Amino acid sequence: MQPENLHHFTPVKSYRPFHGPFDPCPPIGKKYYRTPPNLYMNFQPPNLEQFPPHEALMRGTLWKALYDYYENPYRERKS
Amino acid sequence: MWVYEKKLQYPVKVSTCNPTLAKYLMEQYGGADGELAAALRYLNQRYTIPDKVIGLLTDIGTEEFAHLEMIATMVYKLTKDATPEQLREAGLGDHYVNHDSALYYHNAAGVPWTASYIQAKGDPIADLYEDIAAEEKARATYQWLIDISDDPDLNDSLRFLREREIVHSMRFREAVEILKEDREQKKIF
Repeated sequence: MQPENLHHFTPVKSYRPFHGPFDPCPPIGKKYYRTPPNLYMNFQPPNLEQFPPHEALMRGTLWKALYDYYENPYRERKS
Repeated sequence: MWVYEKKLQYPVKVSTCNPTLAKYLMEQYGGADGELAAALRYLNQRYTIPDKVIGLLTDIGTEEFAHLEMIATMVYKLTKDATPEQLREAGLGDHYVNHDSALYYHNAAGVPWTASYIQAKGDPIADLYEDIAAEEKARATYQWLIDISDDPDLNDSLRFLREREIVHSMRFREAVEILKEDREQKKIF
C-alpha cells in the first residue's frame, strides 16, 4: 500500500485494511498508527529548541522536537 | 538509595466515577508492558551493563516507579468510593472477591504479574533493544487507553505518560549509539 502523504511529514500514518464481502462489521476505513519523533532521531543533536521550564513539566519533555500530542484518531459510530 | 518526594510527578485528576477505566488502567500497573515491569527490568539490568549507561537505567527505572505511583493513584481514585455492585458492573467482581478495592499487580484481564515478563540477558545490545521495545509497547498501551477512555482529565495525565515513553525510547536508542561507538579510544589515521 502506498503511503498517503508523501510530501508533508506527519507522525500519524494510515492504511486501509482489506474489507471482504463476508466481514461482519462495517469497514473501519482508515487504520492509524503513530511514528513518534524519536524514530527519526538517531542521536539527539545539541542545542535543540526547548520549551520554557514550566511548560516542559506539563508536556512531558523539554524538547520541542520530541513532543508528540496524541488524540484518538477514530470517530465513534453506532454498530 | 532513594530519596522520596511526597508528590506525584504529574498531577492526576479524575473527572468521572468510572471503575471500568480502573480495570483498563491495571494493564499499565501489573501488565507485561506496565510500569512495574519497566521499573524492575531497568533497575535489574543496570548491574550488568557498561558503566557509561548504568546511570541512564537508574534514572529511567526510578522514573518508572513515579509513573507506577500515578497509575496507582488513578486506579485508587476511580474505585475508592465504588460499591461492590458498581465494581461488579465494571467487570471488577472477580477483583473484589479477592482484594476488596485494594490494588494488586495484575493486568486488565486479572492475570497476575510475573517475572517472566522481563529479561536480563547480560548482553548490552540485547537488553537495550528489549528496553526500547518495552517503551514503544508502553507508548502503544497509553494510546489505546486514551482511545478507550472518555475522561478528559485522566487523558491529560495519560498523554504526559505517553510522552515520557517517547523520551525514554529516545534515550535508550542513544545508549545503543554510545555502545556502538568506541568513543573512549584514541583514533589515529
